[in-house]
Amino acid sequence: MSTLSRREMAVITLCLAVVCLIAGLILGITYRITEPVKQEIAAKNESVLISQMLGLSSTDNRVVEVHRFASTGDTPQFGYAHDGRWLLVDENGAVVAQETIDVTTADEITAWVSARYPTMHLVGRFFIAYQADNSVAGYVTEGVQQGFKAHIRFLVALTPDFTLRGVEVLSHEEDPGLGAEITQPLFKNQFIGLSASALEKSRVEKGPMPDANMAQVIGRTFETAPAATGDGATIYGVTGATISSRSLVEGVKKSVGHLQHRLSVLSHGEQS
Amino acid sequence: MSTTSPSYGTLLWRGIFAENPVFRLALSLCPAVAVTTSLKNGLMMGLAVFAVQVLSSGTVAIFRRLIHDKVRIPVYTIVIALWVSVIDMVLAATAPDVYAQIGLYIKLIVAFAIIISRLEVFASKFPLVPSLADGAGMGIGFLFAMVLTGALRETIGNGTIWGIPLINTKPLLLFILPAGGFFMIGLLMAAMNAIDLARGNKLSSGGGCHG
Repeated sequence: MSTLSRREMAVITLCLAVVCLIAGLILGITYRITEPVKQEIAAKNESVLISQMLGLSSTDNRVVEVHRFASTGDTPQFGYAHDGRWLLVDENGAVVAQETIDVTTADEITAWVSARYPTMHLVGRFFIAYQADNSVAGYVTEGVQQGFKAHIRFLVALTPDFTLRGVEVLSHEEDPGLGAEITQPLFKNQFIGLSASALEKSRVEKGPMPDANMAQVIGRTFETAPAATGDGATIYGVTGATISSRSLVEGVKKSVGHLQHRLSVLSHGEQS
Repeated sequence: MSTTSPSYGTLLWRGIFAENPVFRLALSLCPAVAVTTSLKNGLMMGLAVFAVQVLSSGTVAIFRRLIHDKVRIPVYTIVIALWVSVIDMVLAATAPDVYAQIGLYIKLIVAFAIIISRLEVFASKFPLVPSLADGAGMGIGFLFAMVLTGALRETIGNGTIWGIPLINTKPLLLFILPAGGFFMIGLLMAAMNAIDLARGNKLSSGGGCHG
């Protein structure tokens, strides 16, 4: 008999529903147990990566995480939790309020902000590295950009005078062998040594990179990068992955631009 | 086909040689080729597949009378996907550096022909312990194939073993590439057949359950 009786259909539906419920339960429990561990590992890797990107060797350096909050609502406001201080500004950067914060971890800060400003939520963060004498050693900002498939999360490291020290991709879902090649030195090392203004004017060209440039790019470090010129640089995209390449470059440009603005807001706030 | 299962020893041994998933049944060759570029990757992948196979076989064997015949394939797929996700999360939390290497391939275990074929052919028809033994045998067989292929490919293609350099050059780089993977598996298949013939056994005509 090829048609199913009502009873049989009900039994089949029930069978599938029960299987899915139990599977979901097991998955949920495993997630609850493993996710905090994964987050811890990610955070530890991140702080190691940031030190590496900034070239910090001595332990005298202090890396401070700045959390940025934004409010939804009629009057947009932005808040910065920086080094034990809270700065609230309006959309023009004018200071609205300042306070001291006595908590240090990311979760505690978020809870502190939510308690006082229910409409504000965490929208981003960046890092400022200080040397022993409290002068700035460098900046690292986190950015997100829509790639070919899903979002690309990355870190951009900059010197105090806004020359790029490097770009590292934290997570992506691009195709292996194509878009995923943006994580390889041959592509991402092209960012090293660019000044912020050169980055602004740079454009992505379809690959492949001329053979003559390849060795220099692959082995490039901040010390060996060619001197930043005033004109925009030509960044050679990954062959067959122009969209992913362009996405990362756009993302880096936006992050650097945002960082400059936010740092100026922060320093105005601290002076007033 | 008989309804009494073979002895546990037979079940375990069968998966390693007589019905080795890679060398005899020729199942899941694509990931076998993709991941065996080094001994360590092959070992880790083999262990992950072993875990998924045993867990899936056990789960289906326990509930085999409750799974409705008409939806058995979706249910098998859900069971396999469940255990793959669990193994994926556990591996990411406990061995992050290994996970960085093979994390991409762990998710592909869902589509492995070996696992779903064992569920259909064995675990859905036999009780828990024989099914676990069958799953373990197939898992060990796959692990054995991955480790052997990975070790040979890494040694011949890269000159290293477990990352430790043995000789200074890469002798035959072809063996690290996918084409070389297929060559290596083909050569190992031929070697196993030769050993079988030498021991006086006739070559089996194909895979499947021999009861």
